[in-house]
Order: sequence, then C-alpha cells, then structure tokens
Amino acid sequence: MTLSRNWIWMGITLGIFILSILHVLLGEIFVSSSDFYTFLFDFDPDKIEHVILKEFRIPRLFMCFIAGSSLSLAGLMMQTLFQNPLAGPYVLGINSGSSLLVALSVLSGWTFVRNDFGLIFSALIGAGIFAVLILFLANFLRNSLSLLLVGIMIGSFTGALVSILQSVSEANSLKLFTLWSMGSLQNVQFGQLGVIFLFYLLALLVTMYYSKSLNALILGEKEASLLGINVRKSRIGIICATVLFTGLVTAFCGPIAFIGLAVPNLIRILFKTQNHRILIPACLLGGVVFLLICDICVELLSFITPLPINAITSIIGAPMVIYFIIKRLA
Amino acid sequence: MIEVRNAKIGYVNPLIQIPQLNLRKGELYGLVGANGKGKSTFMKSVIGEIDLLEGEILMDGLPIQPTLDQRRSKLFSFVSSRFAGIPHLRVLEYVLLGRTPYLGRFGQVTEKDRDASILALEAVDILHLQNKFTEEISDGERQMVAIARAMAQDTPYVFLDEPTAFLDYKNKRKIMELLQQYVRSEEKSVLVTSHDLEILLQSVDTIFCIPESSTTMRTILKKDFELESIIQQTFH
Repeated sequence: MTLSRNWIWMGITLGIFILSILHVLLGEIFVSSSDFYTFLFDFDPDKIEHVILKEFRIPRLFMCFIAGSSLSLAGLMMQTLFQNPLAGPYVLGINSGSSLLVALSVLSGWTFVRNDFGLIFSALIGAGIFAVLILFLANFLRNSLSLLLVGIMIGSFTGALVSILQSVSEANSLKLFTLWSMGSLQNVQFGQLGVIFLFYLLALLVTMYYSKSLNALILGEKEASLLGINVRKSRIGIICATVLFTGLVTAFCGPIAFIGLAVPNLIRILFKTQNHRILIPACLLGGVVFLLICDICVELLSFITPLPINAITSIIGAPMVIYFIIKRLA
Repeated sequence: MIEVRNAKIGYVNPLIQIPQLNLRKGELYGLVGANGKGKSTFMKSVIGEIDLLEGEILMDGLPIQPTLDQRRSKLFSFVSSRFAGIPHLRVLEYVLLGRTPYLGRFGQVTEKDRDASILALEAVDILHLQNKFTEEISDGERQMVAIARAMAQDTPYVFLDEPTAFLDYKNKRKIMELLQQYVRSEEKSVLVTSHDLEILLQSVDTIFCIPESSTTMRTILKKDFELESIIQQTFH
C-alpha cells in the first residue's frame, strides 16, 4: 500500500516535470531546448524565442499550475463540505457572479475600468459580490444541502440574465464575451504573475489551515461538531478559500469547467484515502497534471485550428464524470 | 459523575421531566421509551446541544454549562444507530477521526493517537479490519468500528443511540457484552438507548424509563428488573 502510493507520488511529480518542459517548448512557434537553456541562463531581449518564452510560454505555464491546482482544490473542498462527489467550485454560483459582471461590462458597455484590465476586474468584482452573498446566506442556511441548492438556483438565475444580455447585444461584443467564456490560459502578462501568486498562496494557506475540519466533515456536519469542530466557522473559511481559488482563475482565465469535478474524484480513487493531509497536496499536483495535458492538446491542435481550453477540459472531463456516476450507481 | 436535577427537557413544551438522575463512572445505563417520547432529546440536552427548560445539570458537583462548548468533544462521544460507511475511507482512518479533539491545529496525527486507535480496534476485536474500507465490511462490523471510534475518542461519557437496531441477534448481544466490558475495565459511564429490552436487561446496571402514561422519567435499579413490567410501563 505504502509502496504503491509512493510510486503514484513519484509518477505525478515526474509527469509534471516532463509535461512542463513539453508545454514550454510546444506551440505555434517551436522553441528548441537549447533556446530554453539560454533563456534561463543567458537572457537576450532581442532574441525572438526568448521573448516568446518570457511573454507567452512562461506566463501560460504558470497559469496552468495556478488554475489546475486552484480549481482542483476548490472542487475537493466543495465535495467534502457538501458530502457530494458531484459538487464543484461552480455549484455555489461563484463563477456565475463573474460571468454576470463580465457580461454586463462587455455586452452593455457598462464597466468599472475601461482598459485591458476591464474584463479581469469585472470578473473579480463579480466573484467577490457573489461570494459575499453566498457567505451571507450560509449564515442562515443551517445545512449544506440547502446551500448547495441555493447555489444552483443562483447559477440558473444569473445564467438566464446572461442569456438575456446576450440576446440583446451587438455582434462584436457578443464575440468578445463568448471568447472570454471559452477560457484561455494566455491572457496573463509576466508582470501580473506576482499578484496572482500572492492570492493563490493566501487561498492555499487557508485550505491547509482547515485540513483537520475537512477530515472531520467527511462524516457530516453533525458528527464533525460532536468531534469538536466549529462547523460554522469552518464552513465560512472553506467557502472563502474556494471563492479565492475560483474567483482568481475565472478572473484571469475565464470559466474553466470540469477540473474541479473530475480531478478530486480521480485522486480519491488513485490514493484510496479520505485524509485531506494527503488529498490536498495530491489534488494540487493532480490538477496541474490534468490541465497541463489539456493545454498541451490545445497547443498541438493549434497547428490545425485554435481551440478554447474549456472545450478540451470538457471533452476529457465529461466522459470521466459519466464514468464516476455510473460506477457510483452500480 | 453527571447529575440531572429537577429538569424539564424539550424544545418548547416539556417532553420529559426528571426529578433526579445520576450517571456514575463504571456503570452501564439503558434508556427505554416508545418512539417520539424524547430519548434523543434527552441525550442532546445532557450534552448541551439543547438548553434545559428548567432545572440544572451538574458534572462532578459543578454546573456543566459554562465552557461546555469547548469541552464537549472531550467529555462526550456519540454512536448513532447506523454508520453506512464512506467511500475510500478505511477503518483505521475512520477510528483515527475519533482522535480529532486531541489533534493539533493542522490535524497532524501523533504516535499516541495511532496507538489509541489501534487499542480501540483491539478492544472490539476487529484489528484485522483496519485496512478494509468502511463500505465493504458488514453492518455488524461497521457498528463495532463506530464503537471503536467512540473508544478512541476516550471520553468519560459515551452515548449510544439504538446501536443494535439494525443488527442480528448475535451481534446485538456481542455489542452489549462489549459495552459491559468497556464500562468495567475503563471506568466509563455508558448510556444505551434500545428497543431490545431483553438484551438490555441482561447487560445494563440501571434503566431509565420514559413511561407511556406520563412524562416523568423513572429510574429502575437492577434488583427491580422485570421484563413484563418494564414493557407494560414503556409501551402501554
């Protein structure tokens, strides 16, 4: 048992290493490994390959790490909190907030900031507003199932609002919004990476802080409270971390589906445990592997046609989820 | 020792009145009453999840209520009538969750926690199941595992809410014998609710009965145990 688990850890780590190198080198313009080597140790701002690495490949690889692990951890926490393997970061309606605000700013032209950051800013504000709303409701809804249902309702409601906005908007802005909603890992600039990493680190620390609560919450909120866990406080903390993770990713990359749902389930099957002191690092790394694979597919297929990352995660993720449901019912 | 004095228990209207009730260390107690007469409400009231309508509860001579919220998980452990098992959760992992009140902030498990869990599994004679998944063992084994978790929690008071309800006759007896042993060897105070009156009478030291005809809880000592009369009082 221990041996095989060590092998899995080694496999995942090695996988991330190899996939990262592939990810950096592949793309519309191929970068050779010697270019990458000189980029690391002898940066030349006039060399096109070096500029590509700095401005495009490195930020994109970085976002694969951030987005993959964030969404996977957010999914893990939601599944544990709601005792439901089909919960994910999106069920709370947090990304609906982002979508609504982005739709408002793009489609109606009404925006907080009128520059390149307009989209990102709207998405962050939207996630924030809806997070506060969910946290506020969480105080009144005593059990998580009600909260889950309310989250789904909020999602449908805002989804309808977005549809209405789409139907009355003009072609150009509709295209811009549709592109955002497909998700992309290429929207981030080198200079933004620091801020993103700071937010990410904060969410990760909160997640680790609640690993004991998460372990007890496996048994349900009532049992967890009898084991001395402050359920209300934990629930708010866990939702806060989820919001940070999801809001961050949705703001910078658009809504990316299925990672939060598929990866934690896969990790539980692989590691055969419910111990979050193992599941948290495993989901972190597993999410990175999943998104790296998806994004490498995007890079490879980009020679034929540009594809949105959201399509690839769904194409790989959806069959997995169907498999889980069937296996669970069987 | 826990003493309940002149208590009225319930949500708005009193369900149960208790003039005097004691839970001593080293004794096994049975709680009987028809469905809906307030057995669970009684247990929730003692552990302070529901406030008393009247009266007081003392622990070792002092009112229990102040700071109970911080101490509850180290004073009371709880076993429900059914643990259905959880996917991917192993028996030892589950029993280790009983150690939650003693773990550090980040949930790191120490040697002591592991030892306590192994001991608890040994005490209920299911150490061989430690690496099995909680979903793949039998109902009887799962109930044993749930009791082992309560033992690992190592609280002076253990409450079991109909722990034998879903078990066959052999397992019902096994659980009660186990509890008898536990109470004697570890000096714990254990309260069991059950509708299996015959088995209960064979194993417990004292029975608390919520009679059908009134709301006042009666204490029946071992010397007065008589199956027919208890059935009469409880269900007619």
